[in-house]
Amino acid sequence: MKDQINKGLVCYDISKTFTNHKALIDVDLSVEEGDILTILGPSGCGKTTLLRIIAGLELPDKGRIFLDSTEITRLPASKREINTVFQSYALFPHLDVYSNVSFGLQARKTPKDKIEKKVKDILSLIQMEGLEKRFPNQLSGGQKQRVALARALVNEPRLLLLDEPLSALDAHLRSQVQQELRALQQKLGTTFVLVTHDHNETKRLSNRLVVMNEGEIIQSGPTADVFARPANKFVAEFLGATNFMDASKMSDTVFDTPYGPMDVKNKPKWDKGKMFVWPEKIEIHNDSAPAGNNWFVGFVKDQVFNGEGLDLMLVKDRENDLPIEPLLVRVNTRLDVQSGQRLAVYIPPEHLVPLENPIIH
Amino acid sequence: MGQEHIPEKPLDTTKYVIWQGELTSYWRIRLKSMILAVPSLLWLTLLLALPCLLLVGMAFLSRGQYGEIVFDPTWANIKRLGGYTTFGWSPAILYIIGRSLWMAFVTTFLCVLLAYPLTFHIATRPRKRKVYWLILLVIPFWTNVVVRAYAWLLILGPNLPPAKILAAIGLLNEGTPLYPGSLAVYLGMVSTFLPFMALPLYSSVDRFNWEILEAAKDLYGSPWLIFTQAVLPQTKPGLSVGIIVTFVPAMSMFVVTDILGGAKTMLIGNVIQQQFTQARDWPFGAALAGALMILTLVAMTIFRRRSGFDNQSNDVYVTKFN
Repeated sequence: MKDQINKGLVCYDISKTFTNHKALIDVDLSVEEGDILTILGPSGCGKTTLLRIIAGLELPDKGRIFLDSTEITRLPASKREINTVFQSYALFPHLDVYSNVSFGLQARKTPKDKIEKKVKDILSLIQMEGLEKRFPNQLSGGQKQRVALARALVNEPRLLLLDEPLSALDAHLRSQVQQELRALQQKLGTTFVLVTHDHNETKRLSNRLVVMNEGEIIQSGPTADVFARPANKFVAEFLGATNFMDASKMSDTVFDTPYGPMDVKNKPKWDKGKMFVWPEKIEIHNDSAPAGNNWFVGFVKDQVFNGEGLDLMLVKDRENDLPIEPLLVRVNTRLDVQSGQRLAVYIPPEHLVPLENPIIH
Repeated sequence: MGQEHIPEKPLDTTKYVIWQGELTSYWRIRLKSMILAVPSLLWLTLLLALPCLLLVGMAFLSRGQYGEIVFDPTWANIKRLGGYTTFGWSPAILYIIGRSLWMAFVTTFLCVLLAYPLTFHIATRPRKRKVYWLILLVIPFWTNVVVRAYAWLLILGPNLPPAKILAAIGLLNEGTPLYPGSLAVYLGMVSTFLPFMALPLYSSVDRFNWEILEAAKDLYGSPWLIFTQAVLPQTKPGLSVGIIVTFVPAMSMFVVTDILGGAKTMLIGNVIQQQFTQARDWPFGAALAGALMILTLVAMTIFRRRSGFDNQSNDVYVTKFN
């Protein structure tokens, strides 16, 4: 494998221990050129440490790192063709936007006219022309974020690392910057490695996904695959899933659940395990439920307005004496329901997702 | 008692304000702060401004035959500062002033050089260790400068390792102490002034934002670029204060240089001391002291202008909104 020219980043067997705390345990990671990979995980799972090791800001205890098939494990950060967008942006407070963006080019002794052209180009790309003379404390959060991005991208790195780059932005700005980031990446073709704990960011930005917990990679693969087949309950929950239910095999495509027998499109490998359904994929109807698989009758226990539509908590029994959690249903249409109202609930077979790992987490 | 009358007229907000949770007028606040400032103003006027005026005034008087001050206005002392004595022109005083400036400059520079690694070492220790280091840094303040200078005499004596090792290598004659000389003087000066430099610098270093340094590294910064663009801007407030509180007293230091320099390296501090004691020429001593004061003020003003010390707040984020 090492003899073959691999474009992109490969990490073999990376381990890192801080005093008494194992931050990373035997982590393998590979990113192909042009990919956007997100590393998703709760805080303290080691994702930032992994990013810092790739950047060269931390030395791994064990393992090797290759960039385009060249080993860079011991190369200092200042010699790696990798740039980082820091979580707090880390703009130089005493330098204006122009000097911040041109820092890397000046450090590498690029000719002055070339610097001017490159900075001008990147500033127009991020729509920051005319703000060259501003200082970081005169910029809004979104502008700082863009300057930090420009400061890294102007060096044309082979790999761009982003440490929770959108966490300091408000919700509205975040979705806007997500789109810009995606468009920018497609335009430049730079490989992005992004660390986040937000599954929405993952879904919108990346085409490869790595889920980490307690220093280990739990699951990795194309983003759509991971969302379609989460390995276990931890991954599924971290991707925003709720509505887990025990399921046991009745026939090849029918599984028994606490909500009655269900037809399943995504056939699991096990006979007994867990399935879940995304809250926005459940259908509800006002009329009575037809007899048949995937249909059941539920009662509204609680409802919360979520900004766009309603989050309904449904129970199968009015008394809710079943040992299962209420079902969360997200409806985006305007709906007038009362507590205790009776509804017909339909779970489409294609949206019933089995967990890969049958071990109850 | 009944209910209090609520005034119908709205409060004049150009005169009244809620300050520290109390409704009061600007006039009252100003009066309060003036009253509170009186003791310190009085102290400064009586014990600083007045003596300084007396000193400057004395510089224009003459010395009597027995060393008394004679009220006989003259420019002679000022001329002597420029080197013009009754016996013709001599550069001695100018030379001494120049040497004092140089010595203060070198001492400050050496202190900066030592304080940076020292403060970064302390700031990166665990919280408990930091306290030990800071105490170690402050302990020298508990002993008098003279005592510390004599301690150096003992350390640099002919029978102790520093002198013995140098003698063994052949850099020094057997049985010779390492004093008097510039090595001993600079050792004494730097050890005296290092805490003055390190403590203010530490206050800046302790709040160091390492991510800025990492950004400089990530952006291909050379060690020099990392220092000037990531370290210096963040530590400038502490460094500026450190330079001022080191340079000013180093300029007028005479005890350390006297003891460790063997009264050979004459500095302006020594000359002033001599004028007031052995020479009993108070007017000329006053002229020298006044000149030193003005020289120091000028040097500090230039430094403050050049370093932007005036227009920076404690955090580095300088507002330059136009």
